[in-house]
Amino acid sequence: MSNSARLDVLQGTLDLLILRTLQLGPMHGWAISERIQQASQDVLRVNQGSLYPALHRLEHQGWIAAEWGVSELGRRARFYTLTTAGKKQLQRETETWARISGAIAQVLDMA
Amino acid sequence: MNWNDIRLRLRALFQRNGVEDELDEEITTHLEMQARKNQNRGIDPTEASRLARLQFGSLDVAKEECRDARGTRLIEDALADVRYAVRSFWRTPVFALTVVVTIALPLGLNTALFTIFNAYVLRPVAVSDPNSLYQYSWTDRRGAPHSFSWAEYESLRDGNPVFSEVAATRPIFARVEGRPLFGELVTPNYFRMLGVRALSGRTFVAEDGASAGSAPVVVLSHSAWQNKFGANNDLVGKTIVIRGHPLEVIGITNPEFSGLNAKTLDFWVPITMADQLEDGPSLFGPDHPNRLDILGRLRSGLTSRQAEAALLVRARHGADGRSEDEKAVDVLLDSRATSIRLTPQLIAAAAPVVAAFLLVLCIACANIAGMMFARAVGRQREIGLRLSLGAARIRLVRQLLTESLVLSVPAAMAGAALSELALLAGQRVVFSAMPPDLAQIVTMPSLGFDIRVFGFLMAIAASSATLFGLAPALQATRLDLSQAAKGEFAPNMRPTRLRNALVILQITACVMLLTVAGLALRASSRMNRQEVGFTTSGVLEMHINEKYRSKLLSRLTEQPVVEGIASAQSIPLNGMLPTAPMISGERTAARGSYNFVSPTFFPMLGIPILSGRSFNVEEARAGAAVAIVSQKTALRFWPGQQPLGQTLRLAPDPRVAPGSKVRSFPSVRIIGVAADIVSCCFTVGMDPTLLYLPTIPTAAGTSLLVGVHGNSEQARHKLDADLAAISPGAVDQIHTLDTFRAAAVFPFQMAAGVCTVIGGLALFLAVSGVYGVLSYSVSQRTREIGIRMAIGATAGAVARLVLKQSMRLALIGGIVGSLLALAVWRLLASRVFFMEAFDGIAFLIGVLVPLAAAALAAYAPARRAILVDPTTTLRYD
Repeated sequence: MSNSARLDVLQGTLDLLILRTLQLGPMHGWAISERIQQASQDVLRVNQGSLYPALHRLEHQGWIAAEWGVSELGRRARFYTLTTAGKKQLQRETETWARISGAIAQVLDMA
Repeated sequence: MNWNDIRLRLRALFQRNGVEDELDEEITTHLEMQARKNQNRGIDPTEASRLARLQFGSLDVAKEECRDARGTRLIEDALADVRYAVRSFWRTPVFALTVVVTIALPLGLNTALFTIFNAYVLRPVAVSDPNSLYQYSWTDRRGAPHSFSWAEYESLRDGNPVFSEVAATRPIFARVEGRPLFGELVTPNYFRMLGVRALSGRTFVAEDGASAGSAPVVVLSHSAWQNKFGANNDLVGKTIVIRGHPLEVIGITNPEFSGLNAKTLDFWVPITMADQLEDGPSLFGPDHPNRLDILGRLRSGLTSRQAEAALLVRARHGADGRSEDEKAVDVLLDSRATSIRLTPQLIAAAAPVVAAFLLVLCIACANIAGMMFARAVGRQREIGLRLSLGAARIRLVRQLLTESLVLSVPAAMAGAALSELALLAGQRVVFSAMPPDLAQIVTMPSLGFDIRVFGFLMAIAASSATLFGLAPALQATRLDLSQAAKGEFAPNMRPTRLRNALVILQITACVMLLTVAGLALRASSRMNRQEVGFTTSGVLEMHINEKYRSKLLSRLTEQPVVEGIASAQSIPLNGMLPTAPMISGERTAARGSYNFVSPTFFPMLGIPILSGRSFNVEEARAGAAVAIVSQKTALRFWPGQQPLGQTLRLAPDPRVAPGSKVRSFPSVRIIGVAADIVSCCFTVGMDPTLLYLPTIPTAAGTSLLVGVHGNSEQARHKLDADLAAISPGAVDQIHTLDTFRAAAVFPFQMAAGVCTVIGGLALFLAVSGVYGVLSYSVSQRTREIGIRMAIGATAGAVARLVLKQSMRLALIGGIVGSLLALAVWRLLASRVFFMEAFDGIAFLIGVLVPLAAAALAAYAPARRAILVDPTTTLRYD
């Protein structure tokens, strides 16, 4: 896989991707970034440096909640869960994203 | 910001270490997982961890961003600044202490002033719902406020659209066991309406005021019980004699309440006792005398504006019998929520005092600004380095400001303590300096430290910290980075100009305050010595309850200590005399003061009759149409003519003086000319006009003047005791005339004292300011001075260099300050007669003292400059 094929996740869309990923269940930070990478078949690469600030920001906004648990390696890890408010936010952001990407596609398709 | 956010922020603030540890752990876990993944791909462990690090990017940047996400950055920085400031001040305790003391002194003075202001003007009186309490009155065309008759009170009480309840009050004065007591006659609903409870016993009930003459009872205030009756626990149920009437003490009010006015009240009696305790026509009789003040509680939902409109309609409606001139034209609703109302007049009167106090605070701030600046200059290297490394300027300014604020906290605490101390000491000094008779009358409200005083203290401490912190912070951080990086800062710093301006300001203020203090002090000493035109020694002044007048007069003459008895309507130095238009012939008319005096008035006070004669006994008894004028009056009406035998017509305004005795003197023949005296007060000086009309000691309404043998104070005590044995409570007032003069001088002495204290403080601050500036400048110029000495400057020349700098500042300040003082003096001279003359000595002292102090302050820096060793200094760098 060549580097040029990989895309850094854009700032604004990282929140959306995190929320969507957490819909699958509670996860810790590393797992979230891995999951995004896998799901996008290695196209999207999460900048790990900006992952944690984003997680903390979302936590402050009340969209996700954090809890200490035990990871698959038997280490203490911080697990994030989607809250009710987070689910609503995810729905809103998904709709917005669909509208924007649809609009961009239309612009690009214009002969 | 939601609840979740607040919870997380609070946690971030108060469990900072825990949150930080968690962040570390979270990131470490992440790196381990990443490393494991790398290892699984067949990379060796060390390389796998290194790679994980690389993939993550900068750990510190990520952590910083996480911290930003917490939203507590500002507070965390502030806390760090505070910690840093405390640590650095801990290392330089002398500096910190100097700043704290310098700012605490004026802070304490200002807080003391505010505490007094608060007690009178801001603190609500201790009654239920003070904001709905109003005193009601109205004015007619003449502008005089209307007092109410009993019938008018009853009509208001029985139905009015504005007040839910009304009470009538009337001030009353009495001497009980030789002590002056101030009280009020009140309707029995007074205490219930105000919601004031008794500490012991009871307050009035409706039966106490059921009918005229009912209920010989009295309620005492807590302060009277404490200060005038020795906190006697058995007082309730006892009987005290007030104005000759035995009244039973039924209760003592709670300590917080001592009346609604600025004057602390001592007792309350049911208004139905008015006829027993007061002279003049019966309050409830057919004369319907207008004597009552009306206190009302506004109905809820009414604004005072609406109430005024409704009351005006009512007042005009009920005035059918009155002439147009006597009808209400304006209604006054005066809030009784605080003991003194905050009016524009009050603000105008208080402004100069407040300005002087604030000026001293500003001087202190200027000094500290200088010190903070010198400190910042010492830290140029640190500041320059941080700026070069990319610290934001605003961040550094914030840090320097935080240092000022950190110092203002102990300064505020010391200020609070100083304020308490100043108030205690001030009251003690004032009361001991006061003539004792005055001290018996003057009362102070409780000067407590409450939430308003605390708020004021905090606000003024914080704003002065900003004042003395901001300018140095801004200037110290304005650096050229290229030079800062090299460690060179001096060229961009312009500290001296600012500091010089500050020192000039200080000396200006100091010169002005001290000159005004000198003016007031010297004027008050002139009042002590000045010929007021009459003698005050050996004369007593007495007020006797009219019922006992003739009885006591006959007994008085029998007393061996009594030399003679005279009487006068107005006692000299006791305030304004009544006036009336006076007309001579067709041309000359003027409004002049008049007084009624008995024949022996002139010899007893040693006022010479310059020509003609005094009244004889027959004229006095009959009230003959004869008069004596003062010399100035004679010159005014008959310049260059013989005043004796001339006729003067008096045309007292019938509305101003209804029923006044002066109306029985439509025209008088001049029989004598008396020397001029200061009859009203020191502010007016010699009377411009004064007309004496005849009266006798037995005439109602006149004060008695009693000439006595020997020590007048001893005679006063003896007479007071003897008369009390004959008719207890008959003497309302007995003072020596010396006391009257001392009481009239006292306010001027007070003003001089206050000016001296704040002027002295300003002097102290100015000296420290000069010293600071010169020390700094000598240390800055060490190299220059070294070079000068190396090329042959003598020690004297170097000392002159320093002295010249100090004198230049002091002279500019001295000139501006004395110009300001001149302006203040012109203002005072227009108000106070005894300050009219230009007082060169006061000005000289006001200028010379600060100048000399500035020269002295230059001594130590000049000495340091002389001791500069050229060889050492030139090796510097």
